[in-house]
Amino acid sequence: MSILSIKDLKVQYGGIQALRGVSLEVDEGEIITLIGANGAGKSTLVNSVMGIVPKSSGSVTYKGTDITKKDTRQIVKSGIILAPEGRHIFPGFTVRDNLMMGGYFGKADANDRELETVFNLFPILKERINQMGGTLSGGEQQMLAVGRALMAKPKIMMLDEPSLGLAPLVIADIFKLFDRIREMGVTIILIEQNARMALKVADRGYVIESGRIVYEDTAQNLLRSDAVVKAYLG
Amino acid sequence: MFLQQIVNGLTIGSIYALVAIGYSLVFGVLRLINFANGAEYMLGAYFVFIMMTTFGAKAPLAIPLAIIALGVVGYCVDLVGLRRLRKKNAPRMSALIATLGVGTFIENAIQIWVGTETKSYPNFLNFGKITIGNTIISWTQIIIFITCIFFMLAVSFVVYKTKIGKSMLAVSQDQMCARLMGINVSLVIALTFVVSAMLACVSGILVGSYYQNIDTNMSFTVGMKTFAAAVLGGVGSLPGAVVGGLIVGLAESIGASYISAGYRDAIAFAILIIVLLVKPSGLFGKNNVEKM
Repeated sequence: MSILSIKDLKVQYGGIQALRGVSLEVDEGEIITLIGANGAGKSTLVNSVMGIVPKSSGSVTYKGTDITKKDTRQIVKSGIILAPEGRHIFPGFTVRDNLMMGGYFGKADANDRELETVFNLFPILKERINQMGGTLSGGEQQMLAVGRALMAKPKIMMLDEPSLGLAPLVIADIFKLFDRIREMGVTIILIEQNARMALKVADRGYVIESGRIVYEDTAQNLLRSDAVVKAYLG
Repeated sequence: MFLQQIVNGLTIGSIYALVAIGYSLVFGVLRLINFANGAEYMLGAYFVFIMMTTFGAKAPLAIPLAIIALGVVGYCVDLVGLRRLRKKNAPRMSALIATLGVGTFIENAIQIWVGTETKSYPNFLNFGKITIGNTIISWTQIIIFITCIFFMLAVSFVVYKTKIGKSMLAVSQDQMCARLMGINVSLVIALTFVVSAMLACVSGILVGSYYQNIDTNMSFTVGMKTFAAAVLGGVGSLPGAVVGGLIVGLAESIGASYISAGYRDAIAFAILIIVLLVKPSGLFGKNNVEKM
Protein backbone atom coordinates (compact mmCIF):
# COMPACT_ATOMS: atom_id res chain seq x y z
CA MET A 1 0.00 0.00 0.00
CA SER A 2 1.31 3.40 -0.87
CA ILE A 3 2.30 5.70 1.99
CA LEU A 4 1.97 8.84 -0.11
CA SER A 5 -0.23 9.34 -3.09
CA ILE A 6 -0.47 12.55 -5.05
CA LYS A 7 -3.28 12.91 -7.57
CA ASP A 8 -3.45 15.49 -10.34
CA LEU A 9 -1.75 18.19 -8.27
CA LYS A 10 -1.79 21.64 -9.81
CA VAL A 11 -0.02 24.72 -8.52
CA GLN A 12 -0.19 28.23 -9.85
CA TYR A 13 2.22 31.05 -9.01
CA GLY A 14 0.71 34.35 -10.05
CA GLY A 15 -0.02 33.69 -13.72
CA ILE A 16 2.42 30.83 -14.10
CA GLN A 17 1.27 27.23 -14.01
CA ALA A 18 4.16 25.62 -12.11
CA LEU A 19 2.57 22.17 -11.81
CA ARG A 20 0.13 21.01 -14.48
CA GLY A 21 -1.34 17.96 -12.85
CA VAL A 22 1.21 15.70 -11.22
CA SER A 23 0.32 12.25 -9.93
CA LEU A 24 2.64 9.90 -8.15
CA GLU A 25 2.60 7.03 -5.70
CA VAL A 26 5.26 6.24 -3.13
CA ASP A 27 5.37 2.92 -1.28
CA GLU A 28 6.54 2.61 2.27
CA GLY A 29 10.29 2.05 2.51
CA GLU A 30 10.98 3.15 -1.03
CA ILE A 31 13.60 5.59 -2.17
CA ILE A 32 12.19 7.48 -5.10
CA THR A 33 13.75 10.31 -7.00
CA LEU A 34 12.32 13.21 -8.94
CA ILE A 35 14.66 14.39 -11.62
CA GLY A 36 14.33 17.19 -14.10
CA ALA A 37 15.85 20.42 -15.26
CA ASN A 38 15.94 23.64 -13.32
CA GLY A 39 12.47 25.16 -13.12
CA ALA A 40 10.66 21.95 -14.08
CA GLY A 41 8.59 22.08 -10.88
CA LYS A 42 10.43 19.63 -8.61
CA SER A 43 10.76 22.02 -5.68
CA THR A 44 7.25 23.33 -6.22
CA LEU A 45 5.98 19.79 -5.88
CA VAL A 46 7.57 19.10 -2.49
CA ASN A 47 6.87 22.60 -1.21
CA SER A 48 3.20 22.22 -2.07
CA VAL A 49 3.06 18.82 -0.39
CA MET A 50 4.43 20.54 2.74
CA GLY A 51 1.81 23.28 2.50
CA ILE A 52 4.42 26.00 1.96
CA VAL A 53 3.12 26.67 -1.53
CA PRO A 54 -0.68 26.70 -1.94
CA LYS A 55 -2.19 24.01 -4.17
CA SER A 56 -4.75 25.08 -6.78
CA SER A 57 -6.25 21.62 -7.22
CA GLY A 58 -5.57 17.94 -6.83
CA SER A 59 -5.09 15.89 -3.70
CA VAL A 60 -2.37 14.53 -1.45
CA THR A 61 -3.08 11.41 0.60
CA TYR A 62 -0.72 10.23 3.33
CA LYS A 63 -1.29 6.83 4.96
CA GLY A 64 -4.84 6.90 3.68
CA THR A 65 -5.63 10.33 5.13
CA ASP A 66 -6.29 13.32 2.92
CA ILE A 67 -3.73 15.98 3.85
CA THR A 68 -4.35 18.31 0.93
CA LYS A 69 -5.67 21.12 3.11
CA LYS A 70 -3.56 20.56 6.23
CA ASP A 71 -1.09 23.26 7.22
CA THR A 72 2.66 22.73 7.40
CA ARG A 73 2.66 22.23 11.15
CA GLN A 74 0.13 19.39 11.00
CA ILE A 75 1.93 17.79 8.08
CA VAL A 76 5.26 17.82 9.93
CA LYS A 77 3.58 16.46 13.04
CA SER A 78 2.03 13.63 11.05
CA GLY A 79 5.48 12.48 9.89
CA ILE A 80 6.51 14.19 6.66
CA ILE A 81 9.57 16.40 6.69
CA LEU A 82 11.41 18.39 4.05
CA ALA A 83 15.11 19.24 4.04
CA PRO A 84 14.77 22.27 1.80
CA GLU A 85 16.83 23.34 -1.17
CA GLY A 86 19.82 25.39 -0.11
CA ARG A 87 19.86 23.59 3.26
CA HIS A 88 18.47 26.50 5.26
CA ILE A 89 20.53 25.88 8.35
CA PHE A 90 19.81 28.38 11.12
CA PRO A 91 23.09 30.28 10.97
CA GLY A 92 22.91 31.70 14.50
CA PHE A 93 22.03 28.41 16.18
CA THR A 94 24.58 25.87 17.27
CA VAL A 95 24.56 22.45 15.63
CA ARG A 96 22.73 21.14 18.69
CA ASP A 97 20.05 23.85 18.54
CA ASN A 98 19.61 23.28 14.83
CA LEU A 99 19.04 19.59 15.46
CA MET A 100 16.68 20.36 18.33
CA MET A 101 14.58 22.51 16.00
CA GLY A 102 14.13 19.40 13.89
CA GLY A 103 12.84 17.62 16.98
CA TYR A 104 10.34 20.39 17.58
CA PHE A 105 7.51 18.04 18.52
CA GLY A 106 9.68 15.49 20.27
CA LYS A 107 9.97 15.01 24.02
CA ALA A 108 13.35 15.78 25.58
CA ASP A 109 14.39 12.15 26.18
CA ALA A 110 13.19 11.01 22.77
CA ASN A 111 15.20 13.84 21.22
CA ASP A 112 18.32 12.79 23.12
CA ARG A 113 17.98 9.27 21.75
CA GLU A 114 17.40 10.61 18.25
CA LEU A 115 20.46 12.82 18.64
CA GLU A 116 22.58 9.69 19.18
CA THR A 117 21.16 8.15 16.01
CA VAL A 118 22.03 11.28 14.03
CA PHE A 119 25.54 11.37 15.49
CA ASN A 120 25.98 7.72 14.51
CA LEU A 121 25.19 8.60 10.92
CA PHE A 122 27.17 11.84 10.90
CA PRO A 123 29.98 11.66 13.49
CA ILE A 124 31.31 15.02 12.27
CA LEU A 125 28.21 16.74 13.67
CA LYS A 126 29.08 15.48 17.13
CA GLU A 127 32.48 17.11 16.87
CA ARG A 128 30.85 20.35 15.80
CA ILE A 129 28.01 20.20 18.31
CA ASN A 130 28.61 23.65 19.84
CA GLN A 131 29.65 25.34 16.62
CA MET A 132 27.33 27.86 14.95
CA GLY A 133 25.45 26.47 11.96
CA GLY A 134 26.61 29.36 9.80
CA THR A 135 30.26 28.45 10.26
CA LEU A 136 29.99 24.89 8.94
CA SER A 137 31.22 23.87 5.51
CA GLY A 138 28.68 23.17 2.77
CA GLY A 139 28.94 19.42 3.22
CA GLU A 140 28.57 19.66 6.99
CA GLN A 141 25.58 21.93 6.56
CA GLN A 142 23.94 19.40 4.27
CA MET A 143 24.60 16.64 6.82
CA LEU A 144 23.10 18.89 9.44
CA ALA A 145 20.05 19.50 7.25
CA VAL A 146 19.54 15.75 6.82
CA GLY A 147 20.21 15.15 10.53
CA ARG A 148 17.79 17.87 11.50
CA ALA A 149 15.12 16.32 9.28
CA LEU A 150 15.74 12.93 10.92
CA MET A 151 15.27 14.50 14.37
CA ALA A 152 11.60 14.86 13.52
CA LYS A 153 11.39 11.02 13.40
CA PRO A 154 9.75 11.24 10.00
CA LYS A 155 8.01 8.50 8.07
CA ILE A 156 8.73 10.33 4.84
CA MET A 157 11.80 12.46 4.32
CA MET A 158 11.93 14.70 1.29
CA LEU A 159 15.34 16.05 0.30
CA ASP A 160 15.49 18.93 -2.12
CA GLU A 161 18.78 19.04 -4.05
CA PRO A 162 21.03 17.71 -1.29
CA SER A 163 23.97 17.63 -3.69
CA LEU A 164 23.74 21.30 -4.60
CA GLY A 165 27.14 22.97 -4.59
CA LEU A 166 28.95 20.04 -2.97
CA ALA A 167 32.08 18.23 -4.06
CA PRO A 168 31.44 14.79 -5.63
CA LEU A 169 33.21 13.00 -2.79
CA VAL A 170 31.02 14.71 -0.19
CA ILE A 171 27.90 13.94 -2.23
CA ALA A 172 28.89 10.28 -2.36
CA ASP A 173 29.39 10.30 1.43
CA ILE A 174 25.89 11.61 2.00
CA PHE A 175 24.16 9.50 -0.65
CA LYS A 176 25.57 6.25 0.67
CA LEU A 177 23.73 6.86 3.94
CA PHE A 178 20.31 6.81 2.31
CA ASP A 179 20.10 3.03 2.54
CA ARG A 180 20.80 3.18 6.28
CA ILE A 181 18.17 5.86 6.70
CA ARG A 182 15.70 3.71 4.80
CA GLU A 183 16.44 0.84 7.20
CA MET A 184 15.29 3.10 10.03
CA GLY A 185 11.85 2.97 8.45
CA VAL A 186 12.05 6.24 6.57
CA THR A 187 10.70 6.54 3.05
CA ILE A 188 12.84 8.90 1.01
CA ILE A 189 11.84 11.25 -1.78
CA LEU A 190 14.94 12.65 -3.37
CA ILE A 191 14.93 15.62 -5.67
CA GLU A 192 17.97 15.96 -7.82
CA GLN A 193 19.40 17.65 -10.84
CA ASN A 194 22.28 15.25 -10.49
CA ALA A 195 20.20 12.53 -12.13
CA ARG A 196 22.77 9.78 -12.44
CA MET A 197 23.72 9.98 -8.79
CA ALA A 198 20.09 9.99 -7.71
CA LEU A 199 19.04 7.09 -9.93
CA LYS A 200 21.87 4.97 -8.58
CA VAL A 201 20.52 5.11 -5.02
CA ALA A 202 16.81 5.19 -5.85
CA ASP A 203 14.38 2.33 -6.47
CA ARG A 204 12.21 4.28 -8.84
CA GLY A 205 12.36 7.63 -10.54
CA TYR A 206 10.05 10.23 -12.00
CA VAL A 207 11.15 12.68 -14.63
CA ILE A 208 9.47 16.08 -14.50
CA GLU A 209 9.36 18.51 -17.39
CA SER A 210 7.50 21.85 -17.36
CA GLY A 211 5.28 20.86 -14.46
CA ARG A 212 4.37 17.40 -15.77
CA ILE A 213 5.67 13.92 -15.18
CA VAL A 214 6.97 12.70 -18.51
CA TYR A 215 8.57 9.39 -17.52
CA GLU A 216 8.29 7.08 -14.60
CA ASP A 217 10.02 3.78 -14.21
CA THR A 218 12.39 1.81 -12.04
CA ALA A 219 15.67 3.61 -11.56
CA GLN A 220 17.53 0.93 -13.50
CA ASN A 221 15.28 1.28 -16.50
CA LEU A 222 15.53 5.06 -16.43
CA LEU A 223 19.31 4.81 -16.33
CA ARG A 224 19.11 2.72 -19.51
CA SER A 225 16.35 4.65 -21.26
CA ASP A 226 17.60 6.45 -24.36
CA ALA A 227 15.40 9.51 -23.90
CA VAL A 228 16.43 10.02 -20.28
CA VAL A 229 20.07 9.39 -20.97
CA LYS A 230 19.99 11.91 -23.78
CA ALA A 231 18.17 14.64 -21.85
CA TYR A 232 19.49 14.24 -18.32
CA LEU A 233 22.46 11.94 -18.14
CA GLY A 234 24.31 13.36 -21.18
CA MET B 1 26.06 67.27 39.78
CA PHE B 2 27.64 64.82 37.34
CA LEU B 3 26.73 61.79 39.46
CA GLN B 4 23.21 63.15 39.73
CA GLN B 5 22.94 63.25 35.96
CA ILE B 6 24.27 59.69 35.75
CA VAL B 7 21.54 58.55 38.13
CA ASN B 8 18.85 60.43 36.20
CA GLY B 9 20.22 59.20 32.90
CA LEU B 10 20.30 55.57 33.99
CA THR B 11 16.72 55.81 35.20
CA ILE B 12 15.26 57.19 31.99
CA GLY B 13 17.73 55.16 29.95
CA SER B 14 16.54 51.90 31.49
CA ILE B 15 12.99 52.80 30.46
CA TYR B 16 14.12 53.53 26.90
CA ALA B 17 16.00 50.26 26.93
CA LEU B 18 12.87 48.37 27.89
CA VAL B 19 10.86 49.89 25.03
CA ALA B 20 13.77 49.35 22.65
CA ILE B 21 13.81 45.65 23.53
CA GLY B 22 10.23 45.46 22.33
CA TYR B 23 11.23 47.18 19.11
CA SER B 24 14.10 44.81 18.64
CA LEU B 25 12.01 41.69 19.30
CA VAL B 26 9.52 42.63 16.61
CA PHE B 27 12.26 43.73 14.25
CA GLY B 28 14.13 40.49 14.83
CA VAL B 29 11.15 38.33 14.02
CA LEU B 30 9.63 40.31 11.15
CA ARG B 31 12.37 42.70 9.95
CA LEU B 32 9.77 45.36 10.59
CA ILE B 33 9.97 48.60 12.51
CA ASN B 34 6.79 48.70 14.56
CA PHE B 35 5.85 52.36 14.63
CA ALA B 36 2.81 51.52 16.75
CA ASN B 37 5.16 50.68 19.62
CA GLY B 38 5.30 54.29 20.87
CA ALA B 39 1.52 54.51 20.78
CA GLU B 40 1.29 51.32 22.83
CA TYR B 41 3.57 52.88 25.41
CA MET B 42 1.32 55.93 25.63
CA LEU B 43 -1.79 53.79 25.68
CA GLY B 44 -0.47 51.78 28.63
CA ALA B 45 0.09 54.92 30.67
CA TYR B 46 -3.34 56.26 29.71
CA PHE B 47 -5.15 53.01 30.47
CA VAL B 48 -3.93 53.22 34.06
CA PHE B 49 -4.84 56.90 34.18
CA ILE B 50 -8.35 56.28 32.83
CA MET B 51 -9.00 53.32 35.11
CA MET B 52 -7.95 55.33 38.13
CA THR B 53 -9.68 58.62 37.36
CA THR B 54 -12.79 57.52 35.45
CA PHE B 55 -13.45 54.20 37.14
CA GLY B 56 -11.80 54.85 40.49
CA ALA B 57 -9.70 51.68 40.34
CA LYS B 58 -6.70 51.39 42.65
CA ALA B 59 -3.20 51.11 41.25
CA PRO B 60 -2.64 47.42 42.21
CA LEU B 61 -5.65 46.57 40.07
CA ALA B 62 -5.22 49.16 37.34
CA ILE B 63 -1.58 48.38 36.51
CA PRO B 64 -1.92 44.61 35.91
CA LEU B 65 -5.16 45.20 34.00
CA ALA B 66 -3.43 47.75 31.78
CA ILE B 67 -0.56 45.36 31.08
CA ILE B 68 -2.98 42.60 30.12
CA ALA B 69 -5.03 45.02 28.02
CA LEU B 70 -1.91 46.08 26.16
CA GLY B 71 -1.11 42.45 25.49
CA VAL B 72 -4.47 42.22 23.77
CA VAL B 73 -3.80 45.46 21.89
CA GLY B 74 -0.43 44.12 20.73
CA TYR B 75 -2.14 40.97 19.47
CA CYS B 76 -4.73 43.07 17.65
CA VAL B 77 -2.08 45.27 16.01
CA ASP B 78 -0.72 42.13 14.39
CA LEU B 79 -4.10 40.54 13.70
CA VAL B 80 -5.82 43.59 12.24
CA GLY B 81 -2.89 45.49 10.80
CA LEU B 82 -0.37 42.97 9.61
CA ARG B 83 -1.48 39.36 9.31
CA ARG B 84 -3.42 39.84 6.11
CA LEU B 85 -0.58 41.76 4.55
CA ARG B 86 1.71 38.83 5.29
CA LYS B 87 -0.77 36.38 3.80
CA LYS B 88 -0.84 38.38 0.59
CA ASN B 89 2.95 38.71 0.57
CA ALA B 90 2.63 42.47 0.58
CA PRO B 91 5.86 44.46 0.36
CA ARG B 92 7.47 45.22 3.70
CA MET B 93 6.83 48.90 3.21
CA SER B 94 3.07 48.26 3.43
CA ALA B 95 3.50 46.64 6.83
CA LEU B 96 5.57 49.60 7.97
CA ILE B 97 2.89 52.06 6.88
CA ALA B 98 0.25 49.88 8.53
CA THR B 99 2.00 50.16 11.90
CA LEU B 100 2.20 53.94 11.44
CA GLY B 101 -1.53 53.91 10.75
CA VAL B 102 -2.36 51.80 13.78
CA GLY B 103 -0.16 54.07 15.92
CA THR B 104 -1.89 57.20 14.65
CA PHE B 105 -5.27 55.61 15.26
CA ILE B 106 -4.42 54.80 18.88
CA GLU B 107 -3.02 58.29 19.52
CA ASN B 108 -6.04 60.02 18.06
CA ALA B 109 -8.48 57.76 19.86
CA ILE B 110 -6.88 58.75 23.17
CA GLN B 111 -6.87 62.42 22.21
CA ILE B 112 -10.60 62.24 21.53
CA TRP B 113 -11.28 60.29 24.68
CA VAL B 114 -9.29 62.23 27.28
CA GLY B 115 -8.17 65.36 25.44
CA THR B 116 -4.73 66.59 24.43
CA GLU B 117 -3.78 68.56 27.53
CA THR B 118 -1.11 67.29 29.90
CA LYS B 119 -2.55 65.17 32.72
CA SER B 120 -1.00 64.88 36.12
CA TYR B 121 -0.07 61.29 36.87
CA PRO B 122 0.18 59.57 40.23
CA ASN B 123 3.61 58.41 41.38
CA PHE B 124 3.09 54.81 42.48
CA LEU B 125 6.69 54.49 43.55
CA ASN B 126 7.09 57.40 45.93
CA PHE B 127 8.92 55.95 48.93
CA GLY B 128 11.23 58.85 49.72
CA LYS B 129 14.84 59.24 48.73
CA ILE B 130 18.43 58.51 49.64
CA THR B 131 21.09 61.21 49.68
CA ILE B 132 24.71 60.26 49.02
CA GLY B 133 27.01 63.31 49.20
CA ASN B 134 25.10 65.79 47.11
CA THR B 135 23.56 63.16 44.86
CA ILE B 136 19.89 62.45 45.48
CA ILE B 137 18.56 59.05 44.51
CA SER B 138 14.83 58.65 44.91
CA TRP B 139 13.26 55.28 45.54
CA THR B 140 11.21 55.94 42.42
CA GLN B 141 14.42 55.87 40.41
CA ILE B 142 15.71 52.76 42.13
CA ILE B 143 12.45 50.90 41.62
CA ILE B 144 12.24 51.97 37.98
CA PHE B 145 15.78 50.77 37.36
CA ILE B 146 15.22 47.45 39.12
CA THR B 147 11.88 46.87 37.38
CA CYS B 148 13.45 47.50 33.99
CA ILE B 149 16.38 45.21 34.72
CA PHE B 150 13.98 42.55 35.95
CA PHE B 151 11.91 42.68 32.75
CA MET B 152 15.03 42.69 30.59
CA LEU B 153 16.32 39.58 32.33
CA ALA B 154 12.91 37.94 32.11
CA VAL B 155 12.66 38.63 28.37
CA SER B 156 16.23 37.44 27.78
CA PHE B 157 15.50 34.26 29.70
CA VAL B 158 12.38 33.59 27.65
CA VAL B 159 14.10 34.35 24.35
CA TYR B 160 17.32 32.43 24.90
CA LYS B 161 16.29 29.60 27.20
CA THR B 162 12.73 28.53 26.49
CA LYS B 163 11.23 26.67 23.59
CA ILE B 164 8.99 29.55 22.58
CA GLY B 165 12.02 31.85 22.65
CA LYS B 166 14.00 29.45 20.48
CA SER B 167 11.06 29.44 18.08
CA MET B 168 11.23 33.25 17.96
CA LEU B 169 14.95 33.08 17.20
CA ALA B 170 14.30 30.44 14.55
CA VAL B 171 11.61 32.58 12.91
CA SER B 172 13.90 35.59 13.00
CA GLN B 173 16.69 33.68 11.25
CA ASP B 174 14.72 31.86 8.59
CA GLN B 175 10.96 32.11 8.57
CA MET B 176 10.36 29.57 5.81
CA CYS B 177 12.57 26.98 7.45
CA ALA B 178 11.00 27.60 10.85
CA ARG B 179 7.67 26.70 9.25
CA LEU B 180 9.16 23.56 7.76
CA MET B 181 10.24 22.47 11.25
CA GLY B 182 6.61 22.66 12.35
CA ILE B 183 6.80 25.97 14.20
CA ASN B 184 3.54 27.89 14.24
CA VAL B 185 5.00 31.05 12.75
CA SER B 186 1.80 33.10 13.03
CA LEU B 187 1.57 32.34 16.72
CA VAL B 188 5.22 33.21 17.31
CA ILE B 189 4.78 36.54 15.53
CA ALA B 190 1.59 37.32 17.47
CA LEU B 191 3.31 36.49 20.76
CA THR B 192 6.20 38.77 19.89
CA PHE B 193 3.74 41.62 19.40
CA VAL B 194 2.05 40.80 22.70
CA VAL B 195 5.35 40.83 24.60
CA SER B 196 6.57 44.02 22.98
CA ALA B 197 3.28 45.82 23.72
CA MET B 198 3.39 44.67 27.34
CA LEU B 199 6.94 45.96 27.71
CA ALA B 200 5.87 49.27 26.17
CA CYS B 201 2.98 49.43 28.65
CA VAL B 202 5.23 48.85 31.66
CA SER B 203 7.61 51.53 30.38
CA GLY B 204 4.77 54.01 29.82
CA ILE B 205 3.49 53.55 33.36
CA LEU B 206 7.00 53.91 34.78
CA VAL B 207 7.71 57.08 32.85
CA GLY B 208 4.35 58.57 33.87
CA SER B 209 5.19 57.80 37.48
CA TYR B 210 8.65 59.29 37.11
CA TYR B 211 7.65 62.62 35.54
CA GLN B 212 4.26 62.62 37.24
CA ASN B 213 2.54 63.77 34.12
CA ILE B 214 1.57 62.33 30.77
CA ASP B 215 0.47 63.82 27.48
CA THR B 216 -0.52 62.37 24.14
CA ASN B 217 2.73 63.53 22.59
CA MET B 218 4.72 61.08 24.66
CA SER B 219 4.25 58.35 22.07
CA PHE B 220 6.02 60.34 19.39
CA THR B 221 8.93 61.42 21.57
CA VAL B 222 9.53 57.98 23.01
CA GLY B 223 8.98 56.38 19.63
CA MET B 224 11.78 58.43 18.15
CA LYS B 225 14.13 57.99 21.08
CA THR B 226 13.71 54.26 21.45
CA PHE B 227 14.00 53.88 17.72
CA ALA B 228 17.28 55.76 18.02
CA ALA B 229 18.27 53.50 20.92
CA ALA B 230 17.46 50.34 18.99
CA VAL B 231 19.29 51.49 15.87
CA LEU B 232 22.21 52.66 17.98
CA GLY B 233 22.58 49.24 19.56
CA GLY B 234 21.95 47.44 16.27
CA VAL B 235 18.33 46.68 15.56
CA GLY B 236 17.33 43.15 16.35
CA SER B 237 19.95 42.70 19.06
CA LEU B 238 18.65 42.54 22.64
CA PRO B 239 21.91 43.52 24.37
CA GLY B 240 22.22 46.25 21.75
CA ALA B 241 18.79 47.60 22.64
CA VAL B 242 19.69 47.74 26.33
CA VAL B 243 23.02 49.48 25.74
CA GLY B 244 21.45 51.81 23.18
CA GLY B 245 18.66 52.77 25.57
CA LEU B 246 21.07 53.48 28.41
CA ILE B 247 23.34 55.55 26.15
CA VAL B 248 20.43 57.65 24.89
CA GLY B 249 19.18 58.19 28.44
CA LEU B 250 22.60 59.13 29.79
CA ALA B 251 23.40 61.35 26.84
CA GLU B 252 20.22 63.33 27.10
CA SER B 253 20.39 63.93 30.84
CA ILE B 254 24.08 64.81 30.79
CA GLY B 255 23.64 66.88 27.66
CA ALA B 256 20.62 68.66 29.08
CA SER B 257 22.54 69.82 32.13
CA TYR B 258 25.91 70.61 30.54
CA ILE B 259 24.87 71.86 27.12
CA SER B 260 21.31 73.09 27.19
CA ALA B 261 18.03 71.62 28.37
CA GLY B 262 16.46 72.80 25.12
CA TYR B 263 18.65 70.38 23.18
CA ARG B 264 17.61 67.38 25.29
CA ASP B 265 15.78 65.64 22.48
CA ALA B 266 18.28 66.60 19.79
CA ILE B 267 21.19 65.00 21.62
CA ALA B 268 19.91 61.47 21.21
CA PHE B 269 19.74 61.97 17.49
CA ALA B 270 23.12 63.62 17.28
CA ILE B 271 24.60 60.49 18.86
CA LEU B 272 22.59 58.28 16.55
CA ILE B 273 23.90 60.10 13.48
CA ILE B 274 27.49 59.85 14.68
CA VAL B 275 27.22 56.12 15.43
CA LEU B 276 25.57 55.39 12.11
CA LEU B 277 28.29 57.29 10.26
CA VAL B 278 30.97 55.25 11.99
CA LYS B 279 29.24 51.87 12.23
CA PRO B 280 26.09 51.70 10.09
CA SER B 281 24.94 48.39 11.56
CA GLY B 282 24.87 49.80 15.10
CA LEU B 283 27.02 48.86 18.07
CA PHE B 284 25.93 45.22 18.33
CA GLY B 285 24.45 44.83 14.87
CA LYS B 286 25.49 42.31 12.30
CA ASN B 287 27.10 43.71 9.23
CA ASN B 288 24.35 43.07 6.75
CA VAL B 289 22.69 46.32 5.83
CA GLU B 290 19.12 45.82 4.74
CA LYS B 291 17.35 48.63 3.00
CA MET B 292 13.85 49.52 4.01
